[in-house]
Amino acid sequence: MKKGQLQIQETILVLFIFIVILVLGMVFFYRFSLQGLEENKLDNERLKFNTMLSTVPEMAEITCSIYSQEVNCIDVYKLLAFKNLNDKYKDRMGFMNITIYSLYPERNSNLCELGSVRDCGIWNIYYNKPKEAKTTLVLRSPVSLYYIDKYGIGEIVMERYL
Amino acid sequence: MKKAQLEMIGLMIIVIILVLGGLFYLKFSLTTEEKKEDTSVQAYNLMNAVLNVYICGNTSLRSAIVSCDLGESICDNECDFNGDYSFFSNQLDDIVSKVIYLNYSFYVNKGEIEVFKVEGCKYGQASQSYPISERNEYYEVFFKLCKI
Repeated sequence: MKKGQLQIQETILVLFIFIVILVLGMVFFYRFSLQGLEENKLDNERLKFNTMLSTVPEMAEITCSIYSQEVNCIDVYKLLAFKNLNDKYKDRMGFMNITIYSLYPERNSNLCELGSVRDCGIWNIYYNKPKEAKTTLVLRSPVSLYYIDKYGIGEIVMERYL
Repeated sequence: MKKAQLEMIGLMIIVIILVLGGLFYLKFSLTTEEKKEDTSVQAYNLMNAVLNVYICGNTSLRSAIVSCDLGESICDNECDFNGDYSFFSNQLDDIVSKVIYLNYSFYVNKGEIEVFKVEGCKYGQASQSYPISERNEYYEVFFKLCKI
């Protein structure tokens, strides 16, 4: 092989390695950019979901009021009515589950239905689960429950499917 | 400069680029951002729920704070934040322990003065102040939840 041919081969090899490195760099850059965007999207969803922790218990549909003045608590009788309106809220609330568990004065594993408000402790107030979800965000918070003659404490568990 | 020296420099540049690439990869792949959970909303909601609870008859824990500060009895038990307040603190502890398994601190302020506190933990996220206004008395209550 002549010296010129060798030099051409050498140049081609160097160019090839350089292009491989460049392509690898671009792939990594694209991958990290995409990952960054996905994380930002998830952060935004998380932020939006966190605000629901304050807004859902204060929805007029379930919050309690005394002499038409809103009080910071959830009326357990309104929860059952809200449960029956699930379909009307699907556009607004999207894919998520909202469940309230009674914790005080006692924990009770009976599901609350119409006619069994006194002897139950789980209110499945909103249920809209997608067939498949990439991520599930879960938030929990204590809430004050109002039972006409007394106040209890419950825990609202919200699951958001993304 | 001789040809061999030039080639060496070229190789060095390639090696440096590879090392830099590797370092960037390691930096982005190994650093996982720790997400701190914000428990201040939970602490506020818990405080609201706890203070609503009736400890006897129509006496809520919220009203009990005012009574204890004024040195009145609650549920036929003496209560005074400057003396014996064991009934109040037992009731508070009984309710909170049934609801949440975290250590907590509870503070009641009247203006600038701290009238009552339960300090179950030191480091945690505190709630916003919760105002209590009853019988011309004005208080601010804080709740702090700690993981340890």
